[in-house]
Formats: sequence, C-alpha cells, structure tokens
Amino acid sequence: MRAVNYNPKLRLQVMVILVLLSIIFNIFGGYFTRFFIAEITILSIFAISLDFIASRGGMVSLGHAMFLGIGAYATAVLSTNYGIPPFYSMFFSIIIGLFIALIIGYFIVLLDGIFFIMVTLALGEMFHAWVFTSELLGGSDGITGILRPDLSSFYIDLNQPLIFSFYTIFWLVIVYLLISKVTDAPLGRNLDAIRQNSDRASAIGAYKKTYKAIAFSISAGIASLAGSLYVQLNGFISPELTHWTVSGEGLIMIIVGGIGSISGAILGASVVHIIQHELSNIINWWMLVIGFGFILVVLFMQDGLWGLIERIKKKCSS
Amino acid sequence: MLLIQFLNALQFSMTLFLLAVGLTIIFGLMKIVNLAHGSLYMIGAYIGLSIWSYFDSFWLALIFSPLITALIGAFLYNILFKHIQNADPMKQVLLTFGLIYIGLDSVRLIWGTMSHSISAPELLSKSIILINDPYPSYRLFVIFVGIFVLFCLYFILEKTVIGAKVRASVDDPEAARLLKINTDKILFYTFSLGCGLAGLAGITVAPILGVEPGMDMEVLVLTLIVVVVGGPGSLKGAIVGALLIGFVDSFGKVYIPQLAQIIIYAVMALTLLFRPDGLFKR
Repeated sequence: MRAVNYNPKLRLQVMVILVLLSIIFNIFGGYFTRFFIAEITILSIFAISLDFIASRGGMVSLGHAMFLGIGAYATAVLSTNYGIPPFYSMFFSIIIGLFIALIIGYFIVLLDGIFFIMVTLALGEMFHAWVFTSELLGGSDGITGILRPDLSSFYIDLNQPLIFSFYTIFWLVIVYLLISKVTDAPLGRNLDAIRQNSDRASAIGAYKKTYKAIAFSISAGIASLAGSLYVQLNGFISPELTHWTVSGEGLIMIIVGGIGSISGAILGASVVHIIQHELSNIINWWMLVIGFGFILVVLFMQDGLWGLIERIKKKCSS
Repeated sequence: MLLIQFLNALQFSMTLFLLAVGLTIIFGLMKIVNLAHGSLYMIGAYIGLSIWSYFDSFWLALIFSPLITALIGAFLYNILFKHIQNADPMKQVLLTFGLIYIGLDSVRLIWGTMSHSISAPELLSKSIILINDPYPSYRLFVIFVGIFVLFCLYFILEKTVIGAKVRASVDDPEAARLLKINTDKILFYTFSLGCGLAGLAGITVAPILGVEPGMDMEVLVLTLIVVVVGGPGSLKGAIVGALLIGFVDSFGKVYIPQLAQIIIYAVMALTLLFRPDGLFKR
C-alpha cells in the first residue's frame, strides 16, 4: 500500500470535474441515466468509506457491507415500523452505524492485516446470517415499501429522479468534504503515523486503539449513510446487500481508482459499476470477465486511475 | 438419537477439517488467505460429478477428482500465487476474490446452473443399525476419510524428513533456505496438496449435500472461522477448530435453532477476545 497520497488541490479539481459531469449527465439524461447516477453516487460514498480506513487506517474491511446493511435496515425499520419520518430515520441509522462500529472496532482494530480481513469478513457474514433469519428484518424477502424523505417544506420533491440524484450528489459532496477535512486534521495525521510506524506513534503519545476505533467508526457511519440512501433510492432492501462480496467489490473499486485519494474512490466506483452494468447487458458470462478483470487490476494497476491522473498532470506541467 | 447427532456433527467436522487444513497450511507457509479455497471445493465436487456420471464409478471419482483439483491448484500456484507472496494482504485477498468469480462462472458455463446429486457407491449405500437407529454407512465412510487424512498428515508432518522441512519452512523460511531446503518446491507441493484436499472434501460431501453453484460460498466462511479459531498455520488448530465449529454448529441447529446461525460467530468472537492468535498458535 502506498504511504500517503497527498495532493489536496488535484484531489479537489478531480472532484469538481466529477461532480460537474454528473450534474450535466443528470440534467440531460433520461429516467434511466438519472437512476444510474444515483446508484453510482451511492456506491461512491461506500467506496470512500472503505478508502478512508484502508488508506489512512491501514484496515482492510471485508465486512463493510454490514454497515451498508445497518444503514439500510435501520432506515427501513424505523420509517416503516415506528413511523419515524425517513429523513430523521436516516440520521438515526447513521448514529446506529457509528455506535455499533465503535463497539466492534474497540475489539478488532488492533488485529493485524490479514487477521483483520478475516475477522471483518466473518462478522459481516454473521450479520448477513442474522438478517436472513430475523423476522423483524423480513428474512430473505427483505423489507419493501420504504418511502423517500418528504422535503416538501423545502419545496424539494425527492420522488423526481432528477431531484433525487441531486440529493445523492449533495450527500457525496458532504462526505467528500468531511473525509478530506478529517484526513488533513490531527486525526488523519495520527492515523498516518500509526500506520507507518505504530510503535513510534504510540511512544509519542498517539492512542492507537482510540484513533483506529474512531476512524473505523467514522467509516462505518459513512457506509451507513450509503446504505440509507440505497434504501431511499430503491424503496426496498434485501439481505443480498449485506453479503461480503459487496465489500469485496467495493475494495476493487478503490484499487481501480487508486487508494488514498478520495476522488479516486469515486472514479473507481463509477468505472467499475459502468463496466459491470454494460458487460452484464452484453454477455451472460460477465462474471468470468469481471473476475479476470479484478485480477489484472490488482496485479498491474499499481496506483489505479489516480496514479494515471497524477502522471498526466506532471507531464502537462513540465 | 444423541449418537446420530454426534456422528452427524463428526462427519461435518471432518469435512470442515479437510477444507481448513489446506487453507491453514497455505496460510502458515505463504501468509496468504486463499478466498478461492471454497471454489476449489466446489470444482472438486463438479469434477467428481463428471467422472461419476461418465464412468459410473464413485471410486474413480474419489481418486481422480482430488488429483485434478490438486493439478488446478498447482497451475494457479505457478501463474498467480507464486508471484504475489510479498504483496500486501489486501492485494492478495482481492486476487483470490477475483478467482471466486472466475470459478463460479466457469462452473455455470460448463455444468449449468442446475443442482445435481451423486449417489453413494453400492458398497456404502445401505444403512447400518447403530444400537437402535439406522445410520447411513456413507457418512461413517466420510468420517473415516477425515480421520485417515488426519493421521497421514500427522505422520508426514511429524515423522518424516519432508514434514520436518515443511515445519521448518513455516517456522522460519529464511533459516530453512540457508539450510538448503528448497522452500519454493515445498510451497508448490503443499499448496497443491491443500487444493487437492479441498477437492477431496468436495467429492466426499457430494453424495450427502449434492452439487450446486454457490456451495463454495457456504463453506468458505465456516472454513475461515475454523482457521481463525484454531490458529492459522497449525494442523492441531485445524482439527480442534473443525471439531469445535462442527459440533457447535450441528448441535446448535438441533437445540437452539433460532440462534444456530449466530452461535458459531459467537464462538469465534470469544476465541478472539481471549486468544487473539487462535487456540493453537503456530
């Protein structure tokens, strides 16, 4: 894993370009394009959450789909069973995700590399198994009929695809600002120090466990937001979303985009999702191709698309 | 009744053991977690299915499907695993993640999406009366296979020169190389052996559970839990972990069905809390 990928200016430029592109496509696209943009935006939020802990925290989570699920199911249950307005349910679900991750994180963040991967995978599967059997969560059928938030008091109608896509892009921008702020704040610097030399970092007074647990929790909160938006977009939720392969695909996205550059995660999510979608339309053995693609990406794309952008930028400026 | 449940749990544990031992040895030697281990198990079962339906002989399938799976493992080692030994864990894991997709779709393309069943061989198709209840003799055979493999591995690892070399390569690969032990060769053979054992698990379990796409995912997580609980890299850990998880899962399903899905994860969580390196640290 490359150490630190700092170029805040370039990061912001890429982000602005991506957001402008999505806005243009959103305005001029049809119903389907708008839905697709919302999907990609939600995936990007999820990818950013994985990118943050993988690059800054050095924690590779194969169980993050659990938090996607927590966000989605919490929003669904709170709004359908308890009659809490969807907009507030979303905030509650983020808080629930943050809190659960803080507890889990406290126990697991100090596990090293491969152990952390295996344990998060197992925990995610535990959640998946529980969702499957839980009556409250609708078992294998999931939950349907979840309404989108009612923001008519702000004259916003989220049932229009155009508006809803803007709404998800709004959240993506918020997440981007938050994560870039955290990355450049003392928390991010401490995480960098811990990742690069954990003994030295704790010798100069960084609380390894606390910082890593907080990072894990922030990331989980963002994943919960993605889950909540997913359920608002689709109106239903099924246990499929919490399968560990969802986390695996998220990790592939950040490798494609380039680890550690927040905008890269968005780029990766877009590229992977578009390729997956187009391929599955053309051939029915697309998983075979995707599998080979994953392997080639991991083997040969060292810094991902972000690395490519950096190189182009360097060439242009020199 | 209790005896039957006991034997069922034992049979399940043995299947888990066959799977976990390959994964754990590979982890011990290469520090790689092969997420595609479950795919090899599935492919072993499918190859067995083809041999069984073509030659109409279960025994041929039992011999050749693990061999072919081991060859596939050897191939994968040479084109892939050999080159990623020193990569970071995330890349290793994601490479094997890609293999899962390839395995799943290959199986679908070659054998279709239908689920198949293999019948147990003539010799083992009857039930045996144990005390009062009939018990399928095939399951006893699976238990026997598991115990047989356990003893073979134990003998090879602990009593032969090759075993000593393997242990040396696990404990300290650098020192082993200095002593003129060809660690690359050992890696190659143990990796293939581990894959072959996954294939063996697949073909032995096929007459009980059937053969279908998706069977890889069902066992993968359980196998990982066995490895985490037992302690990666340890043969003792693999068998103890397999017995623990196998019994907890089987008995949990009978006595507390509501919690059965959760209880094995609870075992894992408790183990990690008190013994973060697994029960038997290598």
